[in-house]
Amino acid sequence: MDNMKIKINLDLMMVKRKMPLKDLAEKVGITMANLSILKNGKAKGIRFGTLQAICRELDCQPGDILEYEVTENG
Amino acid sequence: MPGKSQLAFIKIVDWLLTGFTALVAGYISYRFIMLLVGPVLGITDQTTKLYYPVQFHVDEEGMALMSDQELSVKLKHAKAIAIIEAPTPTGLLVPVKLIRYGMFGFIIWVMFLMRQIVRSVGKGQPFIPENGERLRWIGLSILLIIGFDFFHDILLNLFITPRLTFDSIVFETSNHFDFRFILLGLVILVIGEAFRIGAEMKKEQDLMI
Repeated sequence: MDNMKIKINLDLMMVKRKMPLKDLAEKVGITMANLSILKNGKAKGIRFGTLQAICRELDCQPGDILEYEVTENG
Repeated sequence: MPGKSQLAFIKIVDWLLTGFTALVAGYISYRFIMLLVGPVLGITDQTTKLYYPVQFHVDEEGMALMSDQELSVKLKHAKAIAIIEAPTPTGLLVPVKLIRYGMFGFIIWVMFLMRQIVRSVGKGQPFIPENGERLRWIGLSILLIIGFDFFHDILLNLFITPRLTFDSIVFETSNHFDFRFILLGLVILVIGEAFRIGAEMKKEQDLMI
């Protein structure tokens, strides 16, 4: 299980859309601290509501932000 | 975060706990030094009294006045504190005293943990897994204190009670086992575990964005 994870590509999308963290946090309606936790992959989960708001503001699909990744052990 | 009045209350509780802990620690340290310099090392002629609860049978009859009515009352069983002034054999005195100081050591530990919990409440973060752990230690410590007390009573009942000779008093060698405290310890253990699981869930929930 440990070698499988969901990678968060939020920072990539934010660069593509030229949207700073502060602006996105304001538009999505969550704190900068929480958005930072999400961006750095420290979050345990993401609510559909948050995902929906991020996709709306960044004009993207959930797959652009979330990526299923299998890493090799060792 | 707690309000101004709540913070003041928390501070007072913190001070009380700190003061009480310091008092108990100071008293126990003093008693320990007195035991060391007196009966153990013989540096001074300071003696240490040995006192412990005893139970015995009595057979007395008396009266009780209740609502202008005289009721007959019988005394059948009594509890008292036996004080052995000096000199108590060191071989008995030292283990008994060390058990008692051990009990106080756990009481100080419980006070310290309670202070930590109170401080976390002051910081506005009482629902942390560490507090669950602390509650668990408090519950375990209460059970250990009861265990120490039980062992203390057994030791004295075994070595002293059969040697007590008082006219017309027959002592019992039963110990003072209080199930209410065991229940209290167990309840705190359960609360601690529920608290710990709840705090873990909150932590996970906090990381759900």
